Amino acid sequence: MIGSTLVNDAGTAAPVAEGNSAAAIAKPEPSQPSSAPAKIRVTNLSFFYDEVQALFNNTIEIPDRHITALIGPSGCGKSTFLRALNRMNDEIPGTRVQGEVLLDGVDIYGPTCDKVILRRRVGMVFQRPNPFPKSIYENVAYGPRVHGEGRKSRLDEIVEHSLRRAALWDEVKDGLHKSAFDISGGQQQRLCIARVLAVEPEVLLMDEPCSALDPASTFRIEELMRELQKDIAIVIVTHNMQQAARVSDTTGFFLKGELLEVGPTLRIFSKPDDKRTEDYIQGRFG
Amino acid sequence: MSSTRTPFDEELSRLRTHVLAMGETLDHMLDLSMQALTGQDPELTKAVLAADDEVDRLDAEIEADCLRMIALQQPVASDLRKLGTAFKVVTDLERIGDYAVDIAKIGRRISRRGLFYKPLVDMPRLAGLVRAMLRDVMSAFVNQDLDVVARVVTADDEVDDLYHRYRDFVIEAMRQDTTQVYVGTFVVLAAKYLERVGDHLVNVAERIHYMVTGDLVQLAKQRKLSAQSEQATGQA
Repeated sequence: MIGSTLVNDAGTAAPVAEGNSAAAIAKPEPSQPSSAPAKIRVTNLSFFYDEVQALFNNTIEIPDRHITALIGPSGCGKSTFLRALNRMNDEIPGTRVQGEVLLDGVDIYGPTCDKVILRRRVGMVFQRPNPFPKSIYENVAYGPRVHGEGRKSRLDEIVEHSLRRAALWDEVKDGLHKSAFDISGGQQQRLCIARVLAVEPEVLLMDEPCSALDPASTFRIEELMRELQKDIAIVIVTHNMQQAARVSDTTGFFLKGELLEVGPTLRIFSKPDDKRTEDYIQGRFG
Repeated sequence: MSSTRTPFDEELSRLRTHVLAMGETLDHMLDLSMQALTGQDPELTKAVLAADDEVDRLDAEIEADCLRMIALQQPVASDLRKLGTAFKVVTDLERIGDYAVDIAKIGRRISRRGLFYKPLVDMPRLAGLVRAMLRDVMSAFVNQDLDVVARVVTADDEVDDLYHRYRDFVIEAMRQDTTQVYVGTFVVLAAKYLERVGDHLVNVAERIHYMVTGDLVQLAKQRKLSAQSEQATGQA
């Protein structure tokens, strides 16, 4: 939506990555209807690594307060697609995007989009837990500090609130100033989620967040996703079919850069329309 | 595209073979139980009881195989529907075996009394109808054939009609000759068992419909409602 203004929390115009005009992405009111309206609307999205096309004209709506799982064989483009939703691919030289990605109706690839604000609103958790080499407290406080929060009492509140939301508080509250590397892998992943939550994202992108975790930690993350889903939209890329089936409301199947089929998870896993989807989820290829 | 799940596919194929074996055994049992009833042959009753042990063994084996594959292979979509169908239909098939045993035992009971009840002509006809349904059900299971599924549901109406006619006939015969009440009661029971076999086969047909389409539909009920609606339209 060219011409609108992207503003930061203080209401002042944020620095824009490209172009000079300001664009407004107003945070939706809490009174927004809960019947899963589209939080992100992707239309004809194609993506290129230099001359190699990785995504082909993909269209999908990511509903708010909803978990969307993206599945597909390795190299099919699902992670590229995920990273395109908060412009993480921009950091890779030689890449380019065609099509449109609207966040609450505003094009994130528009010339006025501020990527810092975009990535605060659309946070990301990666395959391997990647805490900063700092204390547990500092990992969570890092984002709010970057976004200008300097008050100690407020940071304390944010850290506790975020760790509670990430279902980690009870396990670390007595050692908040211990190194983030001193806790288990599953706890580190929840710490990374807490770090994202500390800046109050509206969308959480998760790229195989449990692939390095044991079953108990995996179930904790899945339980956490269900809690977070009450407030935010979640998009998860996973190779674990049972995880996609257990945790998501909607599933999209990618093959060779194309989103072949999107539908309610129950339907995709019981009666998919496309034979290729069926063969993939049944483990008959991939 | 070559399958990456050959061992699982082989297990599914073995499961199908076991369900078919159960169907063949039941067909044989229904044949023997009819001979036991109409021919008053107690030896045949023993053969039916022995065959029922085999049905029970297959029932337990198929159920265990389904549970094992669900636990270890995490099937989804059509694979899951195949397993769910096998898991469910064996209960109906096992019950059919029990009915065949009950019918054979009625034959033994009547023969022990040294009684012979003449009007048994419609009983083999009834058995013939349900055995044809059983063979159709097995064919629909293997070939995933919805036309044959529909034929099974229709055939059950014929079974019901014949049972009702036969039951009324025997009741009338007992009313006219009270010495026939003992035998007549058991003969009606045997006919009722065959009618119930038809009902179980309709259940199996409905499950096969689910296996093929993914839609759980009560086909018999749907057919009755549709017939009533046509009748109402005709009367209007």
